[in-house]
Amino acid sequence: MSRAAAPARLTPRRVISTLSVLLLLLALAVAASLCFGSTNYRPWQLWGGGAEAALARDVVLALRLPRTLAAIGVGGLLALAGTLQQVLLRNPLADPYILGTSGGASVGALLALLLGVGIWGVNLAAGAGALLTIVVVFLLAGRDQSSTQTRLLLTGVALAAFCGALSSLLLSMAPDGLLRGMIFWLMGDLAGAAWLPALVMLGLMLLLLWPLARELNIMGMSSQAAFSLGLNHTILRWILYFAAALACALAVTTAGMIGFVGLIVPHALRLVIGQDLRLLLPAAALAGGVVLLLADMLARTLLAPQQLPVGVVMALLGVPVFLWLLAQRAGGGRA
Amino acid sequence: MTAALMQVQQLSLQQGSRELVRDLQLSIQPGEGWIVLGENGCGKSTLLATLAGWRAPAAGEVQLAAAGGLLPLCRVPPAERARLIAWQTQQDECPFPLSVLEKTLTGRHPHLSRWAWEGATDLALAEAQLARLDLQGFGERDLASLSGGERRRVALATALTQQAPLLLLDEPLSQLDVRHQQQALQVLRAERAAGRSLLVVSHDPNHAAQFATHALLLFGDGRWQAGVCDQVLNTKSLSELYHHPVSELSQQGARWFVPQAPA
Repeated sequence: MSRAAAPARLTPRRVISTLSVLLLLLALAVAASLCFGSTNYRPWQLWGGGAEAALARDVVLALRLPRTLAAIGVGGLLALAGTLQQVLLRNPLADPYILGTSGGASVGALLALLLGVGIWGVNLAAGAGALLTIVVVFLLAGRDQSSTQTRLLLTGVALAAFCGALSSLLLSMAPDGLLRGMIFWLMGDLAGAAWLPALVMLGLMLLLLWPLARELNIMGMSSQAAFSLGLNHTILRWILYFAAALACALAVTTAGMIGFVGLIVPHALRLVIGQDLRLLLPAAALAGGVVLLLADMLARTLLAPQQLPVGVVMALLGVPVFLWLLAQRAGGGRA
Repeated sequence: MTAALMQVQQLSLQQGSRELVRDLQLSIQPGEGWIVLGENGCGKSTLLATLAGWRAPAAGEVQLAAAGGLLPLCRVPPAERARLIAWQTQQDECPFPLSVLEKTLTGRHPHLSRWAWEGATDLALAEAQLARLDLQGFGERDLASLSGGERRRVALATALTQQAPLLLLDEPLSQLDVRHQQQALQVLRAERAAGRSLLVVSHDPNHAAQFATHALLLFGDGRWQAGVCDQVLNTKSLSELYHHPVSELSQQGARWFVPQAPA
């Protein structure tokens, strides 16, 4: 794939127009998600006084709307976490799932479930697990400056496997009474997910991170170049550690392990809108919502009335893309 | 005499247990052009990294003329330091696709407030620096699609766009062909004429004649020699510096240093 010309320089006007297009796409995806399912509705069927319309409204408002909002929140958080990790590690292949961040979060959450602490404890433990894995990956492999950065990916993969083993260990130690709940939680699903915290956190993080976007742009360059432009690495790095861990942990506690959103979304966006984070950050958050929403619609409708976990659908779509990207890099081509 | 931009006092540099530079004294005045010469691994890049504030010196101090007077470099706020010193490093890889213009515009970052966007003046400045280095029309090109020499020129253009009074340039002319080397040397001369100070690492002592007023020789074993070009650059010092006999040719009043062919 040749990219002799990068997308044109970013202006505030282009930010607004691109985000408007993405918002429109999101609105369309929301409409589709509300209308399609085990029973398909046409929008106008929802209005009206009859019993049929009332039932339709019930299905849409009580079942599909919360699920749709959860998909937007979780997808946005995952895409945001992926984008931030990519800047932090200076590697466009970073993703919370691949690098074991989601795994760390789920180990923390399972441990908290096993110890029987409340929902806040679960979230806190998930956050701590995610933060720990991010810092470990960064310390072990963050200085990998080779062009393919195999050490980084290997470290992440090893850590993800380790977290998987820890999760299994915790499950095998769990008493029968807790086991069912833990497994159900680990499988991850958007049905019945709490959408409000995810959406609120997504909005808050965008508001807090967007003012830093130009500095983060510079941080994505070589560290010496960033230093000579006056960047304060230490503070920014810790902001990114915490933000990526928080986003990933909340996504995991809301909807379980879902991979590759944080990889595919920023990557595809970079090809179309460029790498400037002043646009990429909000765009990734919106597009992440759209992608997870579409994946969830597939999960609900492919084998309807049976429902697949959305994490399975994302992995089925994401792994081939990831392998293709890896092959492109190994072959010296730039994807 | 005007006040120094940068004062280096009793500076020692170490790489592992090896002492590269011992007790370096240097005072860089506005409008001075310094050429830094020495063998591979003698500490030229280490010196630049230390003067840029990236590395802490093994001993001694680097002082920078900041708003609050002559301050130790580590006490100058990063944003102010970036407005005073531009540092072009040898390697400058960016893992993300970046256009030439975007890269060049990063030089404006220290001058922009948090909410500001690069405006028309920033854009014009960046494009002018690209044009000076024969890169007009390259703005939309992806950095990764450029050749090594072209990328070096983009890095130099970025340092120039930073508009800092002190430029620390680590081999800005390596990988450049003859014409573009001459062009870049002319740009360096113009920057010096505009009152900026330069500290340029090079492997060709003949570059000195084109932009340098002073030379700094690093012998790699702690010894160093600094001073006005005419005093420091001669066949004796250069032969000793490179551990290879260097002779001098004279052509139209200009001195040329050439290595003697091995017998």
